[in-house]
This record gives sequence, C-alpha cells and structure tokens, in this order.
Amino acid sequence: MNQLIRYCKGYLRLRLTGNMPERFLNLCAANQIFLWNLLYDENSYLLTMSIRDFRRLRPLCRKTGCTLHIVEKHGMPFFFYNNRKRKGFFIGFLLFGGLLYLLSCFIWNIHIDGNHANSTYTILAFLEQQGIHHGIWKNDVVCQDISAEVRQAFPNITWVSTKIQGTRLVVEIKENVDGYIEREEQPEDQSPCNLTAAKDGTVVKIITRSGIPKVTEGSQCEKGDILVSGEIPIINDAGETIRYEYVHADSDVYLQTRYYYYKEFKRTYKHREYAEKITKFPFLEAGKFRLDTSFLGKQEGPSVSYEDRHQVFLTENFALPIFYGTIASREYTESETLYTKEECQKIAEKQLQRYQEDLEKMGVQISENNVKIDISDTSCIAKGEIIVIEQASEETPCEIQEALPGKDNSLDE
Amino acid sequence: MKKKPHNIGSAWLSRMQIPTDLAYQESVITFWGKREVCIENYRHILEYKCGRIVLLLKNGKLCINGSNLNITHYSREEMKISGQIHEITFEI
Repeated sequence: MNQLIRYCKGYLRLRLTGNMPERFLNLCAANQIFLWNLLYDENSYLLTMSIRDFRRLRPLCRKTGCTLHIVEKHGMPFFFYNNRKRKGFFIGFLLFGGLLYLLSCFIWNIHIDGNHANSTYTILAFLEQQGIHHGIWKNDVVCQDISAEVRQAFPNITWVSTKIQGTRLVVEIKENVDGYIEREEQPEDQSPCNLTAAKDGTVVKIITRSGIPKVTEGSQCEKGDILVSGEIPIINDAGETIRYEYVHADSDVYLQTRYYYYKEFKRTYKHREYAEKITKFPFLEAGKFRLDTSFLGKQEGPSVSYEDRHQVFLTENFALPIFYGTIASREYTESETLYTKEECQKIAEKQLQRYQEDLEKMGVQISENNVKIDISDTSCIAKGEIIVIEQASEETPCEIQEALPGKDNSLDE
Repeated sequence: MKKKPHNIGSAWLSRMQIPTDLAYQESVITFWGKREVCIENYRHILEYKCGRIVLLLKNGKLCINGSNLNITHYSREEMKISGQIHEITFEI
C-alpha cells in the first residue's frame, strides 16, 4: 500500500556527493525529509525520496556543500509526462473514467436478503412488475416506496428495508416465521339449504348440527336424496304444521360408496438398452443465435440427448440472455420384450396403490378392496370395486313454501 | 540516611510505570538476526561507510560494523539498517 502511494506521488533515486554527507542526512532527518534505501556506493550515497521532499533540498545542499544528481525517476507523474504525446492513451483514460462514473449511476445488482418463504425469483419478478429492474437509473429508485410495495404485496413479510449500496440495491426482509397468517374472515353462507347425497351409498355415520336428518345410520340413499333438511316445520298444540322455518343445514354425513377400478396394460413393451459411452458437445446460446457442436459427432442409431444448461449472470441476480452448457448424447438399441407375470403383478399393484393414495389424499377412507388382477398372455387387467367411506353431501337450496293459509296467527291467538 | 535525588526520581518513575526508554531517553535496539537492526532514540549519524555506521546516542556512540550496510529508512527517532552485521559496540 505504501509503495502504491509512493508510485502515485512519484519518487526519485538520487546520488549524493560532498564533503559532509552525514551532516546532510542529519539535516534531512531534522527537517522531516523522509529518505529510504540509503546505500553507500563508492564515495557517494544513493538514496530515494519523494518529489515533494526533493524540492525542499536546495538550502540543505547549500549549507552542507553537497550535490545531488538524479539517477532514476519513478512514479505516475513521470509516466504521464513521458507519455504526454500519446493522445489516444489519455483519451482512453478519460473515457474509462467517464464510463466508470456513468455506469456507477445504475443499479447492477438487486440483492434480496432474509427471505425463506418467498423465493428470490418471486420477489424479483414482483419488483420487475413495479419497474425496478437491473440496469435502472439510481435516481429512479425510491427506497421507501419499494419497501411499502413489498410489504403490501406479501402479507407474510413483516419488515422490509431497502437501501442502495454503491451499484447494489439491497432489500432486507424479515418474514413471519411462526406461520401465523391473519385470515380475512369471510361471512359464512347462511342461506337456507338442504344437504343432499352426492353419490349413491349407505349412511355410516351422521352428526347433525342444524336441520332435520332424513336418514339414519344404515339407510340406503341415492344421488340427490335429501340427507338433512333445512326446512323445519313449526307445529302447534294440535299437531298441525302452521308454517316452516328455513335454516342452513349443517351436518357431517359419512356414506359408504363404491369406486369401480379398471386398469389395463399390455405385457409387451419396448426395452431400451443404453450404450455405456456418453458423448458430450458444448454449446453456446446468445439470444436467438446458437452455436452448437453436436453436428461434429453423428450418431449411427437412435439416441437420447440431455442438455445441461447454465445461464450467465453479470451479477448475483442480473441474468444475461446467454446460455452455455453441454449436450450429452447416448445411443440405445430398442427391442420388444415381455413382462413376466411377477413383473405384471408388481406393476398392477403399484398402480392400484397409487390410485388408493390419490383417494386418501381426497379425504376418503378405504374400507374394502375387491380388485382382482388377471394376467393373460398379452395383457394385464386389474379391475374391481373399492368400497370407501367418505363425506359425500352437497348443499342444495330449499324450496321455500308459502305460509299455510289460515294457520299463520294461530299461535299468537 | 540521605537518599540520592536520582534514586528518588527513578523510584517515582518506576512507581508510575513509565517505560524506561521514555523515562531516561535510552535507545532501544532491536535485532532481526544478523540481517537487520532497528535503532530508536538516536541523535545523529556520525559516520556512514559501506562497512561501518556510527550513530550518536544520548549516552555515547553506537558502532555497527558489517558489510553491505544499507539504511532502509530513517527518520528523526528511528533508523532501520539492513545488511550483514558483524559487530555492534558501544563507545563512550
């Protein structure tokens, strides 16, 4: 570092001759003239000092009777002086400085910090929508607005700090880590309705919270049958229905229903035998232009290709439309093969298991599985019934009846 | 018994934990093997030749004999000498 400063300021290598060189050196020290690399060389001394100190030496030389000769000149001032006629160099130097200043007026990197639930890509895409992108003019960036917009757009972000550091826009985020999300309470639909069966089946369990159940455990029902009625009759002392009250039927009705399963696949399939040798070809893609070297190695038979693709990033998140990577190509031979019975059994079981898992994901409880697997010479068929217990009820609006004539005010009377 | 004033002063200075180089303006000489030597609190350069450097200290002279002696840097308080050092002697 010290050497760099000396080089920038410029320094001289001098030869000192005279009768009283020691006195000269002592005077230099007393006048705080800094010397270094002092060497005795054949009745003279070689020393190094800065240009600024050299200009202060005249009185000391006169006082001590010493003479100084410049041996070497080093540093930036001499470099510029020697190259003063090379105008192109200076123009280039000035252009470099100007370009550096101009480029420092833009945001070249947007850094998102502290995000876990929201991906960097999501936040960057949102900022892009708001007009904050890589290469934006620094003066167009208002940090407070960005913070407010990010907070508003992402409910799980509790704190945002945005600042410009050099040519970086740093967005620091704190997310809601305990998972609490303030949900907007939606008004429940309280319009009168019945609960009807969504499928044919047998009622297994019924828990009614509002409405009148029309079925009991063990009763059969068809699709569209009313399970819980939202129409409540109001009966007077004489046992007559005077009017109806309508409620929003609410109940958990579990029905035992049947799913028919059928899956068939052929026992023959095309088996691929891949070659061990993998050939790789590099490629470069810039915008629409693509430089591909895969034509260099022609494949004789059929082959599969995998592309390992990387994008070029100018900064951490500033992606350029330049891609590079390799295309790995592997030859294969295809032959018709037959699944063995054990393999067929395994595949069919796996397919059935996947189907059952999908059902369970839908909240269905499987109570019985009557699927049988038949393996013939050409195909494998899995078919049968799966009996499940599920909540298969849907809300249908009540048919609102008019008040019975002459009975309206009987209670009041 | 009457104490000497110097002893009283030194007793006070040691009690105040003032470093001796500051208290008595003594020179501090630091060696890096035979290659380099750093001298602090010197007064003047009395002689500088290729094989001999004589410095004036507060309490006498310091002679450094060797070969290819080079003053790497020096200021009013400190001097660093490099080269092959053969001998260092104190003279009054």
